[in-house]
Amino acid sequence: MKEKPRSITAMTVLLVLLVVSTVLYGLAQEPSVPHSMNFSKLTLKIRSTKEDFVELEPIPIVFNLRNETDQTIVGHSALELSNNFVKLFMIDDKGEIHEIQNLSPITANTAVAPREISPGENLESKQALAFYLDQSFPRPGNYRIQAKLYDASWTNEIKSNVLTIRVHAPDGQTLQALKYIKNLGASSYFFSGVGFASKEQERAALEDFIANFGETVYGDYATFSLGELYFYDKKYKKAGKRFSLLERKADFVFGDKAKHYLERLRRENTISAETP
Amino acid sequence: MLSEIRQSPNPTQNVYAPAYIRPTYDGGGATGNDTNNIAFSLNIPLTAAAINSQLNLGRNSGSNESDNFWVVYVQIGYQGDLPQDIVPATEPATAGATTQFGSVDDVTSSAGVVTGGQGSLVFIESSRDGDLTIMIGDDFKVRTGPHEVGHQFGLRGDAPGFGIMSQSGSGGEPLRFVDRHLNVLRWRIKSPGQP
Repeated sequence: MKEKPRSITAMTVLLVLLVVSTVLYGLAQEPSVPHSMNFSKLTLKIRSTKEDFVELEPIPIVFNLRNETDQTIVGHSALELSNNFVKLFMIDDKGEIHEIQNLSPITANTAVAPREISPGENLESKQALAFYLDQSFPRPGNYRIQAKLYDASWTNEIKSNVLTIRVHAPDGQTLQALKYIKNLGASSYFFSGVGFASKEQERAALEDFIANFGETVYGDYATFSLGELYFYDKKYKKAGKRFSLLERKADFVFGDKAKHYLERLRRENTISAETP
Repeated sequence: MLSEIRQSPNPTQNVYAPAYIRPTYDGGGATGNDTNNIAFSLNIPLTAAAINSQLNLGRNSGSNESDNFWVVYVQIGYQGDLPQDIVPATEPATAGATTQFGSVDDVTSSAGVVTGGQGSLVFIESSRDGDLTIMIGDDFKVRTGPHEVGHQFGLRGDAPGFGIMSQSGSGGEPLRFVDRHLNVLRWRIKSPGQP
C-alpha cells in the first residue's frame, strides 16, 4: 500500500529534474544562438593590392566579411561577384552613387544557405575587375569604390569602406601594350575570358601579347588567363608552365589560385594524361 | 528544368511568348547536334575558361546562327563550383551559370541590345539539393533554365524586382519577364551571343 505514493514521489522528482535541466540547458545555450537579424552588424571591408593602376589594368579587389561582435551572426559566403550578392558602386565627385555594371563576364543563379559566422571569424574572396574597364574606369583619374553585400533574402545590406584607386595614362612599353589591346578592339574584355570569336583566337592573342608585353603590368593577367585556357583545354604541361611563373608572386592577386592549379596538377599527375 | 520554355505561344507554358519568341527544340538546326554523351564532371568551376570549355564540349550549332535563326544552347550539368554546391549545407547553391558578353536592363533601340552569351550550364544536382536545403520549393528547378537563357539574351536582372531574372531565393519573384526585359527581348536582331 505504501509503494504507490513512493513511486508518485519519485516520478514527480524526476519530472522536476527534467524541467530544471531543460531550463538550465536552454540558458546555457542562449549565448551561442545565432542572431540572424544582425546581418547588418557584420563588417565588410574591401581593399586592393595597390592604389595606382594604368588604363585597362585589371583591378584586384579583396572582399573581407568579418564578425567583429561577440555573438555568432548568420550570414553567408557568396562573396564572388558572379553570385550577384555583392554589388560595387562608384562614388562620383558630387557624392552621387552609381552601380558599376558588368562586373563579371559570368553570372550565376545562386541562392545562399545560412552560414553561422563566429565572433572574430573572417570570410575572404580575392577577385579582379577585368571586364568593361574601358567603361567603368574610362580615363585617368581618381575613382572611389564602395561595395554592398546583401543577405540571403535581399532585405538587409552591409556597406563597405570606400576604396580609392588612381588610374594613370601609361607610357613606354606599357603604352604600346595598351595600344595593342585597343587595336584588337578588345578594350572591354582582353583579360576577362570572354569576347574573343574563338578560344584559338584568344589563345593566339594572349601568346602574342605575352611575348611582346609580358614584362608590363598587364603581363601576369595575360599569363594567368592563358594558363586557365590551357588547363581547361587539358594542355596541362603548358598550363603548368604558365602557373609556375605566378605561384610565388605574393603581390599578384591570383598567385594563390595559380598555386592551387599547380597543386592539382601535381596531385592528380595530370601532366602525363595531357591531350596531344 | 525547361518547363517554362515549352514549344508554345501560350505565356503559361512559355515565358518568352510575350516577347514573341517561341522555342523549337531541334538541336539548333539539326537534331544530331543534341548530345547526351558528354563526359561527366562532378563540379564546374565558376571561371569563364572552365564554363566555356565545358559548353564547347557539346555546342555544335554555332555555324547555324543568323539574324533569321536564333540559337540558344543549354547544357545540363551536375554541380557548379565546389565551394558553391551546397555540400555541406552551409555553402551557397549555384544552380546555373552563363558567360555573358555584356548585359542590360533597358534599351531604347536595337543598338542598345548587347551580345549576350553563347550558352548556359544548368546544374541538376545543385538545383535539387538547393531547393530542398534552402527550402525554396522547386524554384531552382523551374526558374534556372529560362533565367539563364535570359542571360544569353543579354538581360541583367539578378536583383529583386526583375521577375524571372531575379535570383532564386530572392522572395517569391514571379516567373515572368518584367516589361523592361520584354522590351530588350523585342529589340533584339542578332542571335544571342553573336556580335
